[in-house]
Amino acid sequence: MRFLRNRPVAIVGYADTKLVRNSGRTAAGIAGEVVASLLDTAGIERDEIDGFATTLAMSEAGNPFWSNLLAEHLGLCPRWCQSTDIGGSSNLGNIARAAMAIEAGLCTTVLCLGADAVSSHDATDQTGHRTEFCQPVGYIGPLVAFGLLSSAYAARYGMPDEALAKLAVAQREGALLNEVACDILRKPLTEADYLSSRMVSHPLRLLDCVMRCDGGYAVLVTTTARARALGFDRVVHPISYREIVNFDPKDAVDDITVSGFSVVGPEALRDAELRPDDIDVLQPYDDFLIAVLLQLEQCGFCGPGQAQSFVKERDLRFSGDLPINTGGGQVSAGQPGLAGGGVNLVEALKQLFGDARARQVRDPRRALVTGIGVLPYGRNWGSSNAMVLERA
Amino acid sequence: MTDKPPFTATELTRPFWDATLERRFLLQYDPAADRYQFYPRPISLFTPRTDLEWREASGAGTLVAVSLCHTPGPGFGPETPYILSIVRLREGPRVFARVTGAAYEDLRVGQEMRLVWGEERGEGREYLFAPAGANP
Repeated sequence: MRFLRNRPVAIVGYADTKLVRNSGRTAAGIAGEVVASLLDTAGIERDEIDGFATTLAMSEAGNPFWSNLLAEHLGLCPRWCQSTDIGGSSNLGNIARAAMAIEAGLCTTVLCLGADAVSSHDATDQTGHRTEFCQPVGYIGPLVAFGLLSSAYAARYGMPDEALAKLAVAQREGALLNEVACDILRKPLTEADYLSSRMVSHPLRLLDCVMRCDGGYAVLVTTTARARALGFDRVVHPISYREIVNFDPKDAVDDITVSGFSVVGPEALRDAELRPDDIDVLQPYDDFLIAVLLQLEQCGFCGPGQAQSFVKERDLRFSGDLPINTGGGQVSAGQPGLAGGGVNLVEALKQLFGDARARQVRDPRRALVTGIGVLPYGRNWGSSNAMVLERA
Repeated sequence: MTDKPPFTATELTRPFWDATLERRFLLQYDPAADRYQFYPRPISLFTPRTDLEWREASGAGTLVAVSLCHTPGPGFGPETPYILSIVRLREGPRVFARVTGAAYEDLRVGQEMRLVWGEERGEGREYLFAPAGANP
């Protein structure tokens, strides 16, 4: 997506909902709330929106016409429409797909949406190896997958408990300052609390893991020219994007700790003509804390196996020298199902727009946001994507 | 009786599950690539072939990853905590299965493992791993 370098596309607004555990709501209800909020804060007419991209919703997983139903619920008449199903990578993927649709001339102004009420209702049924080769032998989902991944990392490099504890506390401090984070997670946390939290899938602790919740977000993407014409003086440009799905299908890499970020992380930075040090705020997808450490290594912030010593030397808080998941990330704010990556994405936008209030990073110019999706059989996660956002 | 999810055979997996009932673990083999693959796929991962051979695995492998699961899957509650693993078979593919015949604390990534058989359930039989030297 080299065309992004010319900054032809701009994010002009965003909105999100409070994250709530077991809200009893529906994804459509959440979508309506967040779109109304976006239209209000951005101050644009709904008819301005001629493109629509959404994530799927786990709470509505049985509906094969989800994006169309949402368009109908929301009163949209898009000239380009899609739902993206690369798991947690879909949120960032939709920003990139919106940019492509705009660049291709199919539409001008795209609503990118994620809304899910998975903690109230989970309608997913993952056919294939999950139901045929995993659940019948005791697999309970991502907890096991990340317990196994952690054990492979520990065998190679040692268990990075100190780095995980430091990250857990830094992200929790962000959640304490983030009013949309789940209330049940907005409690102070110490490194000792993290280290003594119970093992769910040894060596994975409870506080390594996301908690599912309900919630959503919306982001408005348009051309830079249209943004100017509409009078937006604050915009954020996506300036590079890379994704990879089903990383390493032929088992060429005999190391399950290596993920697709070893490819897309360096590529996204190179495309933006940046080095890791040029990133002011990092919003890595955090379904589990160990995934953040792997991304630091594989995106090039430090070398393989060096996350522990790297994190020890850096201050990860919003006020520090390497702010990471400043709103709590998903681990400390909650994971609203397939809209989960929106937690990381919207926090990057809040920081770049200068809207992060009590946890505002001082004058950030560039953010790196990432996505992780899908658990393949006997390997690391399947999809990895990375985007650099730049304040104009 | 067990409440664990049953093994179910499909168009792609029936030869595999049928063989488990005879305590044989089959891998798909692509002779053109000289590569094995697991779980069963509709096409070779290495060449465009779909007429793959079924070959019996030696059952020998190496422990790649191991976790002590305290949060049981459906039907596994009475056996909690139990050990889950990824084992790389000598033939190449990685297999996800429970571990038996060892305490979690005694397992080391990299150690030699062998395939052992568990209970018959639905259309197949559970396969597990044990340390190469242990009695079943």
